Formats: sequence, structure tokens, C-alpha cells
Amino acid sequence: MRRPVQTQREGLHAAEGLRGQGVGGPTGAGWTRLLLLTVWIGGLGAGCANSGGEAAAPGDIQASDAPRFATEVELPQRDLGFRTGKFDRDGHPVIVGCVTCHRLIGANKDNTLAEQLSRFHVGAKVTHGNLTCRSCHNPPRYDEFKLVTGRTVPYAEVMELCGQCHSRQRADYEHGAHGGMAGYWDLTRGPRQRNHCIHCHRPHDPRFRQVRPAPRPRYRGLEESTVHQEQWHGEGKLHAHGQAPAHGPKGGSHE
Amino acid sequence: MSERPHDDRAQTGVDPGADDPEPSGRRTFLKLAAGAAGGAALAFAGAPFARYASGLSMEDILQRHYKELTDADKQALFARIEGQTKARYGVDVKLHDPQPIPGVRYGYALNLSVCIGCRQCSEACHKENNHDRASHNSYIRVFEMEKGRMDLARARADYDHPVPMPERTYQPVQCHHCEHPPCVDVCPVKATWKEKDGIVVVDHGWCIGCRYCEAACPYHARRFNWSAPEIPAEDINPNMGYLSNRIRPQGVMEKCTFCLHRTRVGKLPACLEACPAGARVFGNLADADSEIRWVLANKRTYVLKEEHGTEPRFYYFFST
Repeated sequence: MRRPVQTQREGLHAAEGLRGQGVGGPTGAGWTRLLLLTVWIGGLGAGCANSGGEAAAPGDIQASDAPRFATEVELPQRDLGFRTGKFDRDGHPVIVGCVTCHRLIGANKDNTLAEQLSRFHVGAKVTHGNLTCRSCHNPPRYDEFKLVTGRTVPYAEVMELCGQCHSRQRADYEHGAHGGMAGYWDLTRGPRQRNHCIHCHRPHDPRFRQVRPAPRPRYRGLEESTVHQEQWHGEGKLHAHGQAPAHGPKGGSHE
Repeated sequence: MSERPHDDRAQTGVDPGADDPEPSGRRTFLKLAAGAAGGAALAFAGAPFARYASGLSMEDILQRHYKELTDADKQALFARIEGQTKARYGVDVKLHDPQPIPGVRYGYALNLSVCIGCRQCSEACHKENNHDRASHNSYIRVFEMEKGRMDLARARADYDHPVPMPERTYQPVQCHHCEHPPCVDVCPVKATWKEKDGIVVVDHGWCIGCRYCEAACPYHARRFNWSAPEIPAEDINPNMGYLSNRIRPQGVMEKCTFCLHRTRVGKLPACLEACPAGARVFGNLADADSEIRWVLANKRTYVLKEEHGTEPRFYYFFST
């Protein structure tokens, strides 16, 4: 099933349609930290590029020795924590770091699911498959996440955590076929900006919402023909108030 | 019995009243009125031609084919177009003429597993390439069809509901920059051709607007400018390429150019940057290490209307 893309960036909501901010470069907001993963991506990419098996074809050019610009991936949030919904005087969201409380409050070992939280983080929704909190979080070190091998990774390298289970997407990402990009296709001429996993996929509730598409074209030749009328009878037409007709396995509403 | 001139006319058919002192007032009036009405109708019918011609200068009419222009010719031409754009749209623009990068053959791939039909690619093209605002024109059309059918003949591009709809598939279509482009074959004036880096371009100053290429393209990727685009000055993208996103005049063809004013300096096309699903992959097919080559080697890939033998350079693939 198609999943509309959700963006983590402030102020962008699915109902507005997406402008591609999710793929854009640094927002300019001071609260994002620029993280250079050139070595990570470049090293893995170089290792994987030739293992894909594409043989050199006649007419191929030689690999250029020109220096390459960096591929930048920035974290959507400067610090690990949750947003309070408030903003400081510069307009940046105020984030409460995990350690703010967890330096004093230990984790309740009886809680495994988000629904069981009764004192703090109440109402947290985790719909990420069958994952529990401790599938990824690593109390008492809340600034780290644990991999299946037992090794931990800091927040800055959390893409490795995602890539454990979503290895196909991770491989696609390293080869530029997942997650989009902005900047230059030719890295000998300019840099490139890539998304972080959690720019588009919310870790706790990754399910995408529907979006409103950009306006439709209205030029000659695109008027509805009678064939289209018959084919899409009653389905594609806008209902009253612009609501989409109810579809889906249970005929339920769209979120 | 008095002579009655009209009786003689009736019998002999000859008008003996050549020296009739009093011309027939009614007949002359009707002739003059009909003549005036006919002249007015002719002027009214010819008004569109007058409007069209008023935008043309002698240099426009005598302009030579792009391939025959010297550098000095091009500078003069671009300056003239910049001046016309300033006069008509009220904005200062810069026309560039980036040349193909040696050793590059562009390829573009699109992941149908993740396309959600949001039309952000179409919107970005609309803004980047200075399209007419009222018709919301774009070089890209996004088709919606029933899932599993991939039946473009029954798809529709004018849907207007939240996306993605369940049980629907979305497929954007734009110029595929075919290896054997039918549009190039049929152009009677050679106003369109395939460049060294694979981009099929249109010389908007040479095109005569016969629309034969539009009929020949199997993907309906080429469209005609029925009127000059109307764009507010603040929305115009001033970074223009002569062969790509200059504001096209009325009466010429246009199509996707892989944003050559961007890609020929190494940048990604506007549609790729705008895609929120990350469905698009662009690069150099001649570079074995490029992303596009990896996609073609490792993903299920297909092209539209393969049986036509056009060999498109725009590929569709799936995630798994």
C-alpha cells in the first residue's frame, strides 16, 4: 500500500501537501546540527558500488579523479529528546533532553509497551510493528540505542539502527535509490544533501498519512472524456465538501 | 409615353441610363454598407494575427537555427530575448546556454513502489520552467490508475483528492528523451534534435508550431503553447536556459528538458529535489558507479511502450 511521506520538519503537515522540504538541504534553523557522514556513506557506497555487479559497458567513462564534494546528512533534531511544543525566543523548538529526567528517574522495568506508561510519556503511541520500548532504547543510557548485536550507537548514528531491520531500504539509500536528495548529481561539481531516516519516517509512529496533491493541470486535451466518466464512475469524483470517498479494507476513514 | 429606364433594363438587360442624373441611392448605400461590414469582419478575423505579429520583430523572423548561430549571434539573441521578457513580464532574466558535459548520457529512473501521486514533481517543474499559471501547466503529468493494472489508457491525470488512495497506483510521465525519438524524425524543420548528452531539445525560435512532433510522440510528452504563458513577475524563475526554461512564445512546442540549465552544471533536476517520497533517481548512464546504473542493474525496471522501439532513457522500477 502506498505510504505518504511524513516529514519531521517543523510546520509542515501532511494536509498541505509536501513541498519537498523533506528532501531539502539545511533548513537554516539554528537548531539543526550539520552532520557529515561522508566517510560513512562514501566508504559504504564505494564498497557496495562494485558489488552490485554492474559490469563496465562499452562507452563507459573512466572514473574521475577530480575531488568530490561532500554528501551531507543532517539530523532533524539537534538533541535527543522530545519537543515540548514551546519555542524559545529565536523561534527554535524547546526540546527536553532524555537525561533531564532520566538522570534522576530510573526506568520502570515492568513497562514494556507504551500503553503501560502511567506517570510520564503518557499517551505515547508506538505503532512500529511489534517493537517495544526496549527494542531500541537503552536504559539507563537514553542517549544511545542498542543494536541486535548488543552494541550501542549514539543518536548521531541512529541510521544504523534503522538499517538493521530495514536493510533493503538501507542498501537502496546508500545507492541513492531511497530517500531522495538535493544538490548535485555530479559530486565533482557541487555537494549533495541527503535525508536522515527520521526526516521522513517517525520512529514511534511511522505510518504515513494522506496528503493533498498539488493542483491538477487544466490545459487543453485533459478534459474528462466519456471513457473516463464510465471508467471512474462514482469513484474518482469529488464528493461534497471535497472529502475522499471511503475506501480501504474496512471502509473506514483515512487518517 | 415617358421613357421609363427600368422598363428598358428589364427588356434588354442593358442599362441605358448611363447618363442617368440620379444614381440609385438605395443600391449604392447597400453596396457601401456591405463593403464596410465585410471590411470590419476581415479586420476582426485578422486581429489575432495582428496581435501575434506585434510581438515579433524583424530579428525574430530572420533568426537562424540554433546550430548555425555563432557565439556573437547567441549573445545578441539572448540579449534580445532578455529585453523582450523584461518588456512583457517586467522581470530581469538571464539566459544561459550550458553545453553538454563530455562523457555524459543522462538517465532517469522513478520508483513506482513509493510514488504517492502528490504532484510535487509537477509543481516543481511548473515553477522551475516558467509555465503558464492559469492552466497550471507542467512538463510532467501524474497518472492515477487502478492498482495492479498499470493501464495508462484508463488512467486519469486530473484527479483531485487526497493521495495516495488505496488500491491506486501513480505514475508520472514526462519526456523520456528516447534514444530513437519519433519527434525528431518527423519535425519538418529540424527544430528538435537529440544532443550529445542525450537530451532531446527544442529550438523555440525555429519551431513553426506544426505540432507534428506532438502527434508523433507515443507518450504525449510534447505540448503546444496555444498562448504565451502568463506568469506574475515575482514567480518567474530568472535563471533560464535558451533551450530549456526560457519563457516560450506563443505558437511553439515545449517539453521536459531534464532541466538542462541545471543538470548541465551538475545539479539535480527540480522534479527530483521536490519528490517527498524520494522516488526519483538521476545520473550519468556512462558512469558505471552512478546511482542510475545501480538501479538499472539491481531493480526490476521497465519502460513504457517498449514495442515502439523508442528506447526511452526514463525508466520505471520497483522497490523489490
